[in-house]
Amino acid sequence: MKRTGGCQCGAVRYEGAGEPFALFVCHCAECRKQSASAFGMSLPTPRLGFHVTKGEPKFWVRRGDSGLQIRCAFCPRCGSRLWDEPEDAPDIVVIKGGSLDNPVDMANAIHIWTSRKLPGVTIPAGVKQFPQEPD
Amino acid sequence: MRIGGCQCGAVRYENAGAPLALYACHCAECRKQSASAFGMSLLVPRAGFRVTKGTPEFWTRLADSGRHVRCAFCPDCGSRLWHEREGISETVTIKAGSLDDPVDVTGAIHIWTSRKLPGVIIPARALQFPEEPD
Repeated sequence: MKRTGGCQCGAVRYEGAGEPFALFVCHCAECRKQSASAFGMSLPTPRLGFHVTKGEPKFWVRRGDSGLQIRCAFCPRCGSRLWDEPEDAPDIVVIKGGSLDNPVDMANAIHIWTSRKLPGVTIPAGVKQFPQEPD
Repeated sequence: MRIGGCQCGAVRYENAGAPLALYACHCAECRKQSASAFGMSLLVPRAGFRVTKGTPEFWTRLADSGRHVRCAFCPDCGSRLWHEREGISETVTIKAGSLDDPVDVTGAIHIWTSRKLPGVIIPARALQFPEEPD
């Protein structure tokens, strides 16, 4: 199924044709700063079938804890983060879940870096969760 | 004193005033802003709020209220930092995840819960509104 998404102001739009491999909710400090909210949402998706349909994102490159670089795409006009491209996974694009047009179902999300979770954020009982990165 | 900034560190701010309220907003705009499940807004007095490093970029949008909202973000990494509402000069709305210290979400007021993503849990005792509170 085709998924469409884009930034808040609409200047940059994308579509992805491949099925996401997973949905992660990440409570680490980097994801908190990225979202300026409580946690980040990541949908690793096949790069095949993913493309920009409008505008041009800007990239910010950061080094992850792994030492590998991550290219982070965002809208130069409104700043919304759109997707990340991990250096070690050229076949994958990690869509930031809230940038998709359709609401994402969080019920089965895998919660990571729960050791950094904000007080007052509730993780649904029974979901897979990891205090840091899963192995 | 509360300090905060963007993910890459190019823009930093500080705020001396006591916050007036913390909102978790589940509307579609806040979802796009955060690229996550909801947005978080900490309402603080504008007096005592100032940029300590770098220069933010502003994007202005027209809210449902008919008022313009000026949204500050980092031009290098895109992180949203705070909002300034047209006609309201006394307060600034800090996007709470941009603060360096973790924010306690326990007492947050949840708004636009009619748009909440399935699977997001709102604490039973939290004050909540299906849309904007009056």
